[in-house]
Amino acid sequence: MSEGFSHGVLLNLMNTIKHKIYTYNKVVILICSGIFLFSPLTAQVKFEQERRITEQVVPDSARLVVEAISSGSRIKWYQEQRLEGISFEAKYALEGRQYSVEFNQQGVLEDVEIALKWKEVPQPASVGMEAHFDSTYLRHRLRKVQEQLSGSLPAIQEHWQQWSATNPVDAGGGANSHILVMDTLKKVMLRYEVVVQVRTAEGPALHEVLFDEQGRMLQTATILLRNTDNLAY
Amino acid sequence: MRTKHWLFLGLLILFGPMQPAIAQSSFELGFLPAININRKFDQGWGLNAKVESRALLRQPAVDQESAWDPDYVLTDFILLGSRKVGLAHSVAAGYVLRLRPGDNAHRTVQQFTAVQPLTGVRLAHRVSSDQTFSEQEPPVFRLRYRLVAEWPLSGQELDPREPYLKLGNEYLQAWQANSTDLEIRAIPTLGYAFTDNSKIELGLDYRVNSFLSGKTEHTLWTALQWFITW
Repeated sequence: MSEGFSHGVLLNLMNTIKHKIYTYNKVVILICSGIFLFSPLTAQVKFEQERRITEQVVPDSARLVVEAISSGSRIKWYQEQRLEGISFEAKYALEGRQYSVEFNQQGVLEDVEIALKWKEVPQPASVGMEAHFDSTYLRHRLRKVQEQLSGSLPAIQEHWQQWSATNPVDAGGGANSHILVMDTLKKVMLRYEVVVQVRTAEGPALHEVLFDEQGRMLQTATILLRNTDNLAY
Repeated sequence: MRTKHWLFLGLLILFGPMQPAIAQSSFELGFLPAININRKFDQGWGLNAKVESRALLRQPAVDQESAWDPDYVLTDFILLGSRKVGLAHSVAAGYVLRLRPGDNAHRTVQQFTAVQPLTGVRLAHRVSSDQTFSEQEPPVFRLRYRLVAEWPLSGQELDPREPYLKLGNEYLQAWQANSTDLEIRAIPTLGYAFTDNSKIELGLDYRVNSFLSGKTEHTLWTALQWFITW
């Protein structure tokens, strides 16, 4: 399985972003494609639009994979429109955890995201993340933490089975005392996706930050909040 | 549950209660159209302008025939200035001009709104106070709390060209001269987002008051509101 950001995929992504300009009822969303790669502190704007779909429109390869790993859980399928293109996402809950499995338009597995509690993030990563938040923002509050696994499905399953056996849900223990399973990391790419409410000199914002397994920041995106006027007035 | 099932449920909620409500003579039935225009400025400042009218279709009467008597009630012109005080929190204050036959009224409004964007649902808490003055009635002072929940009907977030369900519940405590009153409102609504800045909502606004004094009054409004932000 590719490392996720191989040269060919990266070039494709840059070209896709450069050439796609979305005009939406006179609101133009411009994304500077290369900037975030070379200037990690520059936050890009996250553009993602999803809609609920039935499993009938999902590629068979994707549907079969999720049916095999979800152990009979109720699966909700979504089609996502992102800058990179269309993807399919399956969401389900299993044994107290929320899972999200993402496929590209052809039904090829892209990644598996598993929701974690902050105390379940192993210490090398959590220490790095906290240091980044403290040095970047005036204040911050965690909203969501997800472990993002990319690789072949068997490798992802092996990693997650080892991790779950070593760090069961509600095992207790101190904060961030959970164990990072290093052996299988050679076969999967592990990332942490954190949604954090922050306050900077420019004011409050909602950021989605991607970290590697050691807690080093890879990418930051600003999440645009939907209009709340119909709720306030 | 698929979108069409939600829409059917919504229509049932919209029109279901109307038949038994009509059969009871203490019910008022009316139409509540409104247009709500919002403008955002720098530094989190904003302006909200709203025009809302009321027209009664049915009023309490001795017999069913004379109860159906369409009548214009009033029009509110509302102007509020707002300021963001957090990620999704805001304070607002402003003025309402109420034009009604025989006696106009003036109202000052203050409100604080906190929106919680959760997964799959958005919750909004609104605490407000208003003071109403008119020539023919003593001033009315009210404290209000409203909880609104909004569910997108396609996906986990509301995207353009998608419908949504909005349920609201509001409590209003009023003081006027030596009397007090509690009004409770239930507001089920179906909405459609043309874009993030243009939404239309159709629903019911059910109000019950004066039940503490034993003379319960019910009012059922069919509300149609268009929200525009520019």
